[in-house]
Amino acid sequence: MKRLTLKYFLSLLFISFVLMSCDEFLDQPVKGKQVLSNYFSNEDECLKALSGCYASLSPEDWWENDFFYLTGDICSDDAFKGNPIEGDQRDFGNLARFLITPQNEWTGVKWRYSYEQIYRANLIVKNVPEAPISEDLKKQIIAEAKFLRAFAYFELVKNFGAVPLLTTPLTVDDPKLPRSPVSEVWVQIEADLQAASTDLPEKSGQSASELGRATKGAALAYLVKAYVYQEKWSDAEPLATQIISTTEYNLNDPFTMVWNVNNPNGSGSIFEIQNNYHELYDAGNALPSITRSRADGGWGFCTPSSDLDIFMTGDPRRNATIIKEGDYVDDEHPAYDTSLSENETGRTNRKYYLPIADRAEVDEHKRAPLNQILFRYADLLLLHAEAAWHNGSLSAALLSVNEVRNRVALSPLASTGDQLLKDIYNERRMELAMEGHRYYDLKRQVGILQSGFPRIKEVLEAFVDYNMNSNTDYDAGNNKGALFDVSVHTLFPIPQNEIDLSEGAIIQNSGY
Amino acid sequence: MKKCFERIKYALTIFLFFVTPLFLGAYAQQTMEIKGNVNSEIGELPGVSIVIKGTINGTITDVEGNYTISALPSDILVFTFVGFLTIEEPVNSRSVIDVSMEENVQQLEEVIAIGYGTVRKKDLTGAISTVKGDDLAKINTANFTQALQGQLAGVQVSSNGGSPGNEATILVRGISTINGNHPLYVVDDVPLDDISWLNPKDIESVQVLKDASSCAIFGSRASNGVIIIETKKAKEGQTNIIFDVSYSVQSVAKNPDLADAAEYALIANKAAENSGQSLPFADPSSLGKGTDWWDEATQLAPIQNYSLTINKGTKDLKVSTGLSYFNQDGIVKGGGYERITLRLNTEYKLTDKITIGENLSLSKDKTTNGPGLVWDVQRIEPVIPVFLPEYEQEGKNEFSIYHPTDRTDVANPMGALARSFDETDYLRIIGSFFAKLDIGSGFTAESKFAFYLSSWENNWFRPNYYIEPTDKADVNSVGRTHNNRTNYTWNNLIHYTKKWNDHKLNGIAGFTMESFEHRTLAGNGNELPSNHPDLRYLDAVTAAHWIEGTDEKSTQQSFLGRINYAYKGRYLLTASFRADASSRFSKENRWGYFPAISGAWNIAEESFVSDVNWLSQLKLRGGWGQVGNQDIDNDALLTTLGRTIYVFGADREVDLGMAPTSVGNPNLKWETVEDINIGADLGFFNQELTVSFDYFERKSKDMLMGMSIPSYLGSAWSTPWTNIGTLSTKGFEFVVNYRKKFNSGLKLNASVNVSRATSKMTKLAFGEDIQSGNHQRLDMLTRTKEGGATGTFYGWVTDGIFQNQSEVINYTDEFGNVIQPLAQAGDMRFKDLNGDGIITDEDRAVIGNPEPDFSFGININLAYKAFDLSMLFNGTYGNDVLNAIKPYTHAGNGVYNSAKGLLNKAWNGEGSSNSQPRLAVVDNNQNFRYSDYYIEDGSFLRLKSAQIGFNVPENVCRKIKLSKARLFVGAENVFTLTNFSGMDPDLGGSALERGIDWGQYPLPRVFMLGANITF
Repeated sequence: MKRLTLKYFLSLLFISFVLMSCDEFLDQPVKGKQVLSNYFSNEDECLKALSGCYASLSPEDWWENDFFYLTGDICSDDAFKGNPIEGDQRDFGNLARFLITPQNEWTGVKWRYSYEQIYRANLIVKNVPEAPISEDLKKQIIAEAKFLRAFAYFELVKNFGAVPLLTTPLTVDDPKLPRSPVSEVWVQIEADLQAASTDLPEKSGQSASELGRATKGAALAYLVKAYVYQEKWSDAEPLATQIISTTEYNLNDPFTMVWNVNNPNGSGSIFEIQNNYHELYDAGNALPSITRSRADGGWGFCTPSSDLDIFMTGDPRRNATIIKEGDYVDDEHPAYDTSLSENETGRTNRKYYLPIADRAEVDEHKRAPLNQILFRYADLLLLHAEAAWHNGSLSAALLSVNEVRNRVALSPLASTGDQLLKDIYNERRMELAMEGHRYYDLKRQVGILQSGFPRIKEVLEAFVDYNMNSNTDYDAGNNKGALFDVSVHTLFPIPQNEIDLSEGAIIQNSGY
Repeated sequence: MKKCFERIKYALTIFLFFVTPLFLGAYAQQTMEIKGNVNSEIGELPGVSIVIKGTINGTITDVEGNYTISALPSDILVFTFVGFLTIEEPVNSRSVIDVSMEENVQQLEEVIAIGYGTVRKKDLTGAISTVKGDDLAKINTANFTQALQGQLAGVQVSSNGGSPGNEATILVRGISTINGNHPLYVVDDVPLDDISWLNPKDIESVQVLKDASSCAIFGSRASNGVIIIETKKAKEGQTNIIFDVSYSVQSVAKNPDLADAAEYALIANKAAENSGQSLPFADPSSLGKGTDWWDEATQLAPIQNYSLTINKGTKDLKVSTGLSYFNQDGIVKGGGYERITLRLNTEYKLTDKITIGENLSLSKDKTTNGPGLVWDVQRIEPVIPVFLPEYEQEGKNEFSIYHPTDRTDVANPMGALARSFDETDYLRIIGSFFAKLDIGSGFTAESKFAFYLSSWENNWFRPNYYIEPTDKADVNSVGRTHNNRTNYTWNNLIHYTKKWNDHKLNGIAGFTMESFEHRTLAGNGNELPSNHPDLRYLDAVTAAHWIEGTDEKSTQQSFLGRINYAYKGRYLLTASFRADASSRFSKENRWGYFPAISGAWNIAEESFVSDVNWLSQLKLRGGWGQVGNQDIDNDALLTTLGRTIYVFGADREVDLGMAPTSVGNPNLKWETVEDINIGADLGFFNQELTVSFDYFERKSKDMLMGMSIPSYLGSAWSTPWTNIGTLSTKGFEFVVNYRKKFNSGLKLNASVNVSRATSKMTKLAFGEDIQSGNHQRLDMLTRTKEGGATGTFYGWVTDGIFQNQSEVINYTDEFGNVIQPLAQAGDMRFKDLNGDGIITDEDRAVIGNPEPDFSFGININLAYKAFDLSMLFNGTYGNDVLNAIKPYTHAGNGVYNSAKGLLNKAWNGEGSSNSQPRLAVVDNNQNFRYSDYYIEDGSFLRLKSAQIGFNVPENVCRKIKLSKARLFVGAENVFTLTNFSGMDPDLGGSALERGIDWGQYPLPRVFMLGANITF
């Protein structure tokens, strides 16, 4: 009996082992998640991947990419960090005052999201050619992806200089990439923009539903800018002239309507990040909320300097650019409160200001419906003027700069020689103030007083001198810019962790 | 080796030669006859040995516990019985001596659960700590983890403050990995990761398996130690009804000292003055005390705790059932916890050979989630009132009548409290069914099927309101989240026991299958017609409908075996093996193998020490083992895509795209944790005094961790799981226990435990530091570096304060560069560690380590006649803590509220302070950047609990028809000795973010009244 029970039990046990120990029990698929290995299998998936590539321009939350677009202003004489509390976005303040280390949070963020966009574009360029979709659609999708890849590399090269260059997705097992020389990065940018411009439609050729996507004009305009950054003036001018002659763009919109929720993709818009308020999704812009005064529910970052304000005194564009403490803004804000105790300059950026009715109901810091204009026609005209000046075609330069002045009813210029270049620079500062361009422009331009250095050196020296010695405004005594070192700060440091992760492949920019 | 034995023998012999005569003594007196009865809580005791002290003369009790002995009137009778405390009774010419013996719970015969089986404490070979449920029940808590604090060596428990129903952080022997250090709970043989359903009063005993040689039988989830909990079962012959009741009142143990309105205004004025700005307050003293926000936010709060247990045990049927109710309000307003539990444990003996039974627990609880006011009430300015003046309240909804803040960005915390509608309801059903079959020939087979079902629902509502532009909600919203977890465990075991000659063999073999499923569903939406309570449901939502949900499932299959072998009860060997397969890994890496071996030598049983009466135990133990960790995401192997958001077209419609959100690693495998343990157990004077010591070294290999990768390899921030890190931990535990029943009737049981566990990260992916703990003012708080401890504090190093301008100018590097050119007198001096003449990120260093040098507990129990007293102390020594609220309360820029007295503490002229910088609005020197200024000594000693009980005399009990009754008063967190300036240094946290006071929920001081009644 004893034996029998044992035998019986053991065989029962054995049977259950055999029944249950099969791998089926241990195979548990992941649910509710699309995996990459079988993606790009139809039209919709390819289009969604492309949409994801655009989304990298402005990921969901305020800090992910939007915030860094302020860098062009805070690292120049146009603006200060704003919110004076040291610890509140300390690294943003450190960026503004050029106390920049390889650990800086914001340069790290810029690096990450630029490469995320490149990764997404590379996935498309690699996988879409094999996808079972029409050839026309393939062309269109790849062209847009290449435009976005060029945009991302442009952002990288202008911020960091030489960077790792990859045009296909890599894996953890691939050898770590070193930095490719700046020239190679520019070659890739030019190649992608050329290729994109061939297959993309003009803005006028886009259907209503395509508005906001990359266009031929946008690709070529960025190519002009790429030439300008490389001082390829002889390439830049004719290409700019070519774009101007298409009459795809004009300055018919009044200046006050350029940055306006009611004028997305306006007549002077070449490329802008599309934003809108949505009750569920973080589809909007962060900057209106981040830059507005704290008394008005904003965060008070990136506030215009009195230096800029004085520079623009009397210019018709000043009131559309700067709000100063006590200014009339609209009927709800007849005497604007910039919350002086929390605002280094007593001013805020009018271009990103939204009237109460236009503000997002929920999560305004990532849902403002204002498009972020990255490239507009006035910018192109002024680049054209600059290039023409360098090529010696002063009349062509005057034509472009006066077209910009004409919109705001300023009398045409007739200056020549170095004065004309100064005038173009001044026009550029006023037209594009607080739109994130100034720092990048100043460091690519050659100094007027100190021609052996980038222009940013003399500009920041004058700025510090003004603030420390003659300024009597709210921002008096602030020595921002004193730590600027022209041999270091025309490029940002490569994020330290990228250097560490490169296993020695990446060498830091000098001075950091 | 043999020589060593000889030496011990020799030494002991000499020792005994001198000591033994002390116990000898004979007197020529007339002998007398003494009779008596020996009993205990469980009835009369047969077989108790009664010896006249100092002689070998004696007798034993009969089956009814009676004895007769001849002795001198001046003799002392020594009563000894296995498993009971020895009693010495002087005869004092009495002719009848009845004694009542007490079970010695520390005794060696005690049986200890070691997972899938039990072993006599005497035969233990691994490092296992135990505590009785009755000792835990003295702490008045819903969550038993809180009651473990200070009780056990090698088990460091951080209370995490006193929010209702809160679970403590438990570290068994410190950190073993950087991804989750949660021990595995095994309740009645069922592995679980959730313990909050368990009524602490239902616990019979807790054993903590600490070393890998003990834990390896639980394989892949045991790397953080295993806590085995046995719930109460009825004993044969037992019939009782036990009712426990207590009522407690909690108050804040330590209030933060904050500036009142007048001091706040003075500080703001001073800071403005020092920065050349106009003064914000015209007449600070007129502001008086202002609003005491702390006082507004806290309250006295009750705890009610009722527990009913019914036990009935016969030869064939044992039933234990219970019902309990617990209700705790928070000392910070807005939070609460309520729980009702039902339990049924039964065991039937169907035939001689077959036993079946089940354990079943039901638990229903509700947590009211408060708004977490602790942080904000310490930061908000005291100069504004709670409410708007009445004339301004008109026309506003009930949530908009709160006063806006003026100088800070803190939202009115009382407004946040009013808007707090957030409740979580849990229903848990935990049960198991088992059958045991005695196969014969020493074999027993057992099969147990267990399930853990939990379903929880969270409901929240947020009203629309307007206080100020930065504190408003334009629309109201409501949401519900529903979660379902279903875990199944099936254990199948064969036990084998055989004794022959001097050999004893125990073995088990078995296989188990487990599955874990988690289903989620959540919905929310906006714009309800109004804030009316009846409309706070999803059906009333008119906009922004949102829904999400998924299923996560993983499975595991295991084979396990263990052999316990003893030779002559002296030489003990345990070997175990477990093989686990988990669905989380690929087919190639699915199986993990976890071997262990340990041995012990009971030296006290050796013949060469058998004469040494005072030595009751001397045991050496040693073990080695490997356990595993599989705590990764279910989808860690795969690159998955997630939704992206963009806008296209003239209509500017949202377009949802797709992009990879992770980088998968198909090559993942198990993390292996290996350790060695050496221990010794000593017992003296029939275990009156016991001492235990354990030393361990542990190494975690192939540690599962998120690996930073170059950004160009995937989506931003993706950190694929890898097996790269290694971590080693070393430490020891030391326990001394003393139990004595004095002749006066006073009973003492005291123990002290001390533990140490220090970790060292020996390898990280790419050697890259891990940063953690993002602070709004200080950025990343901790850094784990290769070669350092986990989660160390990392920042600048201060070196006093510049007392005058010349000190600033003279603070230069070797080339004469002024190191802090932006500083002025009264600013902090930072050390230029890399000597480059400027203070940058490179000048940061490790400025603190949250790991204690050791933690300890002291347990004292006294009983005298009807009274008993128990006290439990616990603490840590040598750990650093970070006061994360100091950047606000000590920054002295006149924005956030300050600690009381800051006005006078801050530097204000040469020689006034060398630690607290000047008050200033403009701080070009960044005085309050992350430095050692924020690091404090976290050592503390706390009287965690004290209780005095009164046992109602038996005759009174009998009159009121009770078999036993005990009334008690108690207090918890009576006092804490510490140098920490914050509220409480007892801070938990994860491996990478330990010892940080993020505005932790305050610790309550509890006063308790209660009764334990047995019918």
